[in-house]
Amino acid sequence: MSFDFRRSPAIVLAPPMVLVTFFFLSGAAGGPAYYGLSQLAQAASAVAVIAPICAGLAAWEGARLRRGGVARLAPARCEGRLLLRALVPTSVAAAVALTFGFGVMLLSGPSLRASDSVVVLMAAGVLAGHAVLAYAAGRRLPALMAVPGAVVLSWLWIVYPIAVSPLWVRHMTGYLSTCCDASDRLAPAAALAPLLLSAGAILASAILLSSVAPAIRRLAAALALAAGFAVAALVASGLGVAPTVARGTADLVCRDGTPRVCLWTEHRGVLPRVQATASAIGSRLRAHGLTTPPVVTEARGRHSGAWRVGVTPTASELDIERILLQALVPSLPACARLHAYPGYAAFGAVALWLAELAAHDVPPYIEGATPEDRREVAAVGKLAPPAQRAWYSENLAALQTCERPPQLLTVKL
Amino acid sequence: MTLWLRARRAWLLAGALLLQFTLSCLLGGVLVPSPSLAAHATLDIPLRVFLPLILSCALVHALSDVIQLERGATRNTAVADGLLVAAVAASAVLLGLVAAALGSGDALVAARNTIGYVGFATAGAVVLGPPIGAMLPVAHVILVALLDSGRTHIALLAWPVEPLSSGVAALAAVSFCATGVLATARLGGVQISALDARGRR
Repeated sequence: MSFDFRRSPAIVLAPPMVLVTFFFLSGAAGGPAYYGLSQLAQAASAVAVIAPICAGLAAWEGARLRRGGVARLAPARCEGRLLLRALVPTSVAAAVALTFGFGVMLLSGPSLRASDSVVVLMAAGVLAGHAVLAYAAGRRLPALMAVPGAVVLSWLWIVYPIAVSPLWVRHMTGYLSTCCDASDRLAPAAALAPLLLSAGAILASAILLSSVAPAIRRLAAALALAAGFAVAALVASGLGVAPTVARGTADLVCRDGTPRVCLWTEHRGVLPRVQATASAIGSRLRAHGLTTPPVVTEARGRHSGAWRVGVTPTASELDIERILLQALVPSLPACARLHAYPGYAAFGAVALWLAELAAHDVPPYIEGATPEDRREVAAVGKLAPPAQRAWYSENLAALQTCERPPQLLTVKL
Repeated sequence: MTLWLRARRAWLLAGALLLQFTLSCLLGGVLVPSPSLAAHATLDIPLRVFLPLILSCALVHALSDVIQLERGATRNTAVADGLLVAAVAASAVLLGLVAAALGSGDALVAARNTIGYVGFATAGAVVLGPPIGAMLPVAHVILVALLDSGRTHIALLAWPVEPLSSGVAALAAVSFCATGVLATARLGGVQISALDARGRR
C-alpha cells in the first residue's frame, strides 16, 4: 500500500487541492453562517473543484495500470480489488480536501442535525462517481487522452448545467451552490439524483472494466450511464431553481402572546424582541383601525394569513421593525412572473404609508419607495382616516392580483 | 515516411482537427458559467476556449508514442515532428479562416487558442514529459476560468479568454506555437519518449 502512495500524484496534488478548496469556499455565495445545512451545502459545492482533480488522478491511475499491461497478465486480483487499491491515494486526497472544506464552513459553529449528513454522503457519492468513471476511462484509453478528458469533462459536467434549461438539470450534478436559506431544507430529490447518476456511472465503469467483447462492453456501458441519467432525471425533474423544500414547522420555537411568534430554533434569541416589536406595530395599526395577523412565523407556505418574516440572530431593533413592516406588504403574486402586473406601482407607497403609521421611527429607506411614492403618501395623509383605510384596502388588494390596477391619488396609470 | 505517418497517427490528428472544427462551429459560442474565485461570482466562458484542448492532447499523444525503429532512422524525425506541429497549427488557422469566411467570426479565436495550446503542450511535453505537457494547457485554462475576475485580468496570463482583437493574446499564442515547433524540431519525439521512459523508471 505504501508503494501506491509513493507512486501516486495524489499526494503531490493533495495540498494544492486543499488550497483551491479553501479559495473556492472563501469566495462562495454563503448562506446563513448559523445554519448547518447551508454551511454543509456550501462546503459540498467544492466538488466543483475537487471532482475534476479526482477524475484526473483516477484516470491517471487507470492509465498507469493500462500501460503496465495488468489486464494482459494472469489475474491475481479481480478488477474491483484493483480499482479499490488504485483509488486509495485519490480517495484519501479527496477526503482530506472535502473534510477541510466541511471543517472551514463549520468553524462558525452552526446548528446541525443528523439528517444534514446526507449532504456529506451526496458529495462523497459524486466524487466516487467521477473518480470511478475516470479510472475506467484511463484503463480503456491512452493516458494522454483520458487524463485531460476526465478533468475537462468532469469540470464541464459540474459547472455547465447551471446555464441549461430545464432548470432541474443543474440538480443532478451535486453542485449545491444555491442551498439553503434558514426556511429551507434540502429537497430529497436534490440529494438522491446525483447519487443515482453516480451509481449509473459506477455501473457503467464496472461494465467497461469487464472482459466482455469490446463492442458489447461499450454499448452496455453507454446504456448503463444513460439509464442512470434517465432515473436521476426522473427524480430531479420536479425541482425548480433552488434544490430546496420548505422547512418543517417542527423546527419552530413559538412564544404565545399577542401576536403569537414562531421563529426557527436558530433565531430563538430574538424571539422576545420580535414579539415586543410586532406587538407595538399591531397596537399602532389597531389605533388606526387596521388589524395585523395573529401569528408571526418564519415558516413558509402552510399558514394562510400569517405574518411571514425572516429574521437573523443578529438583527437590531431597527432591522426587526423594518422586517415586520415589510412583511405586512404582500409579496409578488405568481402571475407577476408571466403577466403584466399593474399593482407594482403601489408597492412603495403602501410600504411607506404603513411605515409612517406603525414604525417607532420611520426608517430613512423603505424598499421600493421613490419620490413619487412620498408624494402619494403625503397626499393620502391629508385624507380623513376612513378614506385612508379605503385607499389602503384598495391598493392592498391590487398588490395581490395581476388583474386589478391600484388606485393612486397622484400617479395616473 | 509512411511508417512515420502511421507512427504519428496522422488519421487520429486529422479526425481530432475535424472534430474540434465541427464542435467549435456548432457549440463554440455556448457559454459555460464558471465559478470565479477572483470575482466571487460566475463568469461566462465560451466553450471555444476549452475545445482546442482536443487537438493539443491528440498531438502530444501522437508525438509521444515513438517506435523503436525510429531510433535507427536515416532521416531526421525530430525535424519532421516539428513540421508536424507547425502543420497542425497551420491547418487549425486555415480551418478557422474558412469558418470565418462562412460567417463564424469567433472561429478565429478557437484557431488562435489552438495554436497556443498546441505549442504550450508540445513544448511542455519536450521539457517535462508528455503527461505533464498534455495537462499544461488544461490546467492553464481551468485556472484562468477559476481566477479570472472578468474585469481587471492580466491579458498575457488570461490570453485564451481574450477577444480576437487582443494583440497580447495573439502574441502569446504565436510565441507558444513557435516555442513548441522549435522545441519539438530540436529534440523531437524520440527525446520525448526517452524522457517519458525515464519518468516511468
